[in-house]
Amino acid sequence: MQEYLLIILGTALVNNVVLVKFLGLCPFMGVSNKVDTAIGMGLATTFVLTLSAASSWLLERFLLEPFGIEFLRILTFILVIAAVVQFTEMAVKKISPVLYQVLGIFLPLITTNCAVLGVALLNIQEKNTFVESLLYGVGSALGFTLVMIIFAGLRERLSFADVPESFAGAPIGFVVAGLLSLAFMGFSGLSVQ
Amino acid sequence: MSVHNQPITLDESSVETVAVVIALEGDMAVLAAARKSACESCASAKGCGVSALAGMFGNKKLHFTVPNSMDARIGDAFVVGISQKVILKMASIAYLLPLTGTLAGAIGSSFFGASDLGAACGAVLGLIGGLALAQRISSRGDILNSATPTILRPALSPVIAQGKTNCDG
Repeated sequence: MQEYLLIILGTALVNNVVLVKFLGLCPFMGVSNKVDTAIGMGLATTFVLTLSAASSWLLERFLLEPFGIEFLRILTFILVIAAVVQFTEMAVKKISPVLYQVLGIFLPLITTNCAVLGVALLNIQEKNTFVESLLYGVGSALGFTLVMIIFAGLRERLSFADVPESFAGAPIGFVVAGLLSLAFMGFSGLSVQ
Repeated sequence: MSVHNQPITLDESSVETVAVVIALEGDMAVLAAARKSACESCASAKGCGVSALAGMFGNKKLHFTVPNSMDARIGDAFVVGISQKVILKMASIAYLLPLTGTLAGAIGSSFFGASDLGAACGAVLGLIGGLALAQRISSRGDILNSATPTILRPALSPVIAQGKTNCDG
């Protein structure tokens, strides 16, 4: 069980998908204006990312490896991620049309981004088992959600700050993202006793 | 439109988007809003493959019915909003419950010594269980009642003219 906890902590903090691996920067910069919206987006991404990591692991293990067609990995994973997104939409629509409507109108759609594909590929590179793959996906998604929430909180405060005109908007956002990234790189000093 | 002179109030606790009235049904108005992809807010969206993929699955029009509190006519554009707390509750039900079921199924199977394939089967069963639980909870009356968006103001306000909503960047 400790091993599982370490995978989650390692992927969420030490190897954070956004601030250490620099993946998924588009939603990080584009959809982080309000904390509550960021949490909603984070939950949607967590679901898609975890299912994508698990599905792509299954395909790699039971289709690509046995038939020796690993060179099709990226193409296959992109299709798998698109299928998972469609499945998510269909599942939410099926369990509650009202839920589907409200989330569809007010939360931007997470189809695929480089973080989702990157985690699926890194997961194969790490040679994880199925459960480890799931936890790798969950940990990465939790890390993504965490930085989205922190960044959204900072941007909410920045909107009231007296920022010089030339730094206002995206420039100060990038400066803050860089400082956050430096802070997260401090987690690489964590060691297991 | 008779409502243009009304004072515009910004509700900080709501998530907002723009929708167009497409039909009127008694005291209710049917509105259509475009489903946006997270990629659309990026300046490089036109030249990005991921954004093209997002365009294939996103960009759908979603229809919903709200009380016609602003004397809306067909073709009028309004800013509609819903409480952030409701969005959070909805997202938790839709995404967190099935995910928790998936994890519980996989870890539980692994704990009892199942192979990778067994753990995958456990995860699928957990996912189905989580989806069933989400369906049960989301059909509760209080959840359904709180999930109705409201018309906040006409979409010709300065905020919308700048192309800014709370959803996008």
